[in-house]
Amino acid sequence: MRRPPLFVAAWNAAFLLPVVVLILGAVSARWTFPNVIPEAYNGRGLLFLVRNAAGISTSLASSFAYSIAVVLLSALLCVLPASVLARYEFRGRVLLEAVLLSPVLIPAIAYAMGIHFVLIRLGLADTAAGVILILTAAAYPYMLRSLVAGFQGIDPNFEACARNLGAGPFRRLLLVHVPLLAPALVAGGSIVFLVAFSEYFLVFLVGGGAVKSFTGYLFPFLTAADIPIASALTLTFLAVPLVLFAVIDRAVLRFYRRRGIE
Amino acid sequence: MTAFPRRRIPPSARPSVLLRLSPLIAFFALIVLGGLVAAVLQSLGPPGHRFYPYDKLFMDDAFLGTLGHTLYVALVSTVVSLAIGTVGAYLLWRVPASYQRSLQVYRLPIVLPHLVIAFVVMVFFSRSGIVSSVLYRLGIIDEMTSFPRILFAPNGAGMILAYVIKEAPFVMLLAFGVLARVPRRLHTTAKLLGAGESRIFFTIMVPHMAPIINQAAIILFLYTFGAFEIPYLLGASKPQMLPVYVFSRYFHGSWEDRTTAMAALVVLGLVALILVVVYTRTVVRRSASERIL
Repeated sequence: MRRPPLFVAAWNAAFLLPVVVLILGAVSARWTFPNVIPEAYNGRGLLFLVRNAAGISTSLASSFAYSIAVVLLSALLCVLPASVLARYEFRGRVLLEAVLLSPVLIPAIAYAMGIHFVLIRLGLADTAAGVILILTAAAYPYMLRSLVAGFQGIDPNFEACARNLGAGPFRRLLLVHVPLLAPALVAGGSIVFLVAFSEYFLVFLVGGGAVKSFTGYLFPFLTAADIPIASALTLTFLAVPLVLFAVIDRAVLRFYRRRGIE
Repeated sequence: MTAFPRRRIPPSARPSVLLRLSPLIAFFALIVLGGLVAAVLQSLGPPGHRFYPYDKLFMDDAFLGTLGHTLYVALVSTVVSLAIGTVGAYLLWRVPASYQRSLQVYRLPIVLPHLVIAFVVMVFFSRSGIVSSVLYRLGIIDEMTSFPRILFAPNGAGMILAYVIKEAPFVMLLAFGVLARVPRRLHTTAKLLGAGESRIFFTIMVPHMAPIINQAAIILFLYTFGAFEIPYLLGASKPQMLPVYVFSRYFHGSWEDRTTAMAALVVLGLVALILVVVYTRTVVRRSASERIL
């Protein structure tokens, strides 16, 4: 087709536009109607990040910590069930798989607001533990799906071989399956992390004000429509998953290179 | 990736299979199922008038308006996202493979959080926003107030825009994955036989994408139906979207309002359950590569 260069430019421009606007917004001083780009620029938005570095990094660290905890808990909960669902055929397997994957379709609000009352009674409301539990419920199906696919791609003979050589179930899991499942763990883990890290409502509902989150920090600035500050914070927010994914990508690549699998 | 075949459970392995499954089943039963059951229990009225909150709910015009509005916003955003996503995937497919790599930025909105999308929509589509400014410069509108109200509009335009920006690329990603397996010669042959672009799209591409479209439709609809963030930021105060209605009734209402809020939540949950059953039935017979979830 003859058009591509122009098509490529228009396509990329359209999808990058939001980020360009966020960058412009972050350095703008005044941006009023009918100016398509800001009238004046200053460092107020960026200065805000520096001045409030303590509060911002606390909330980022908190979001990061509970999101990683959600990834680990999801992996822990899903790895053994995934091995069963991938390896065995039994009556009700399809139904069981559908039921266990259903939280990805059921809006989280439906069970989160119901369980909230119970979490209050158990003393888990307004705690990080409560937030991790509810976020795991919403996000674990991505891990389960990814691990089932991962297990289906591993030759069962590997496990039989390890068993014949005398490895117990725990060693087989740790030394045979986990390394082979690394791509599935990373793929599932990335989505789980992203879901947990981006979530506002569940953290706000179950965590109250007590569990800090970056989404909670950002929210008032979005509603106040303070463009420079909201843009600067939003860009900070976007950087975290992007940096994390880049790091993980390289780590996984190195891991496989070292083992000569690639 | 080749999938190794499943085998029957040998009787000796039965206890270990149960043991391996039980932690996740217990977690699901406690939090998800437990949460749904707790919502039902909290939605019931006093003894003898168990379903009184539901009677009240369905007599309440505000709730009926909310329900209709939520169904409408979910339906419109789903249909528009599917239309843009599938056409976008076809455009991407037609581009020579060497260019396709440089077009991958379309995935960006998939990783952008909903809060961020909502903010971008505010910046672009408020009355004093970028789109309004561009239209003014082009002489299409002569003052700010002739730009239609999109944010917080009772027709849900701001929310629909936000959902489409977020979800059309998701559909595009899935649909492109399917189209990548469509042989190029189908397109070439159809062209030689004189079929136009739209005919090729509807008679060749759409049938290939159909399984993905069906699944994505349910996923997107349910998400839009039950999400809180975008309605909270971009929705009108009247009619409210269902999740916002439930939330504000529950936390800002009287004691009695809490029960009706829970009844509304149960309605939301029932719609979700019905669609989960439909979804499961459509994907049961599909191979792993044809399934989204």
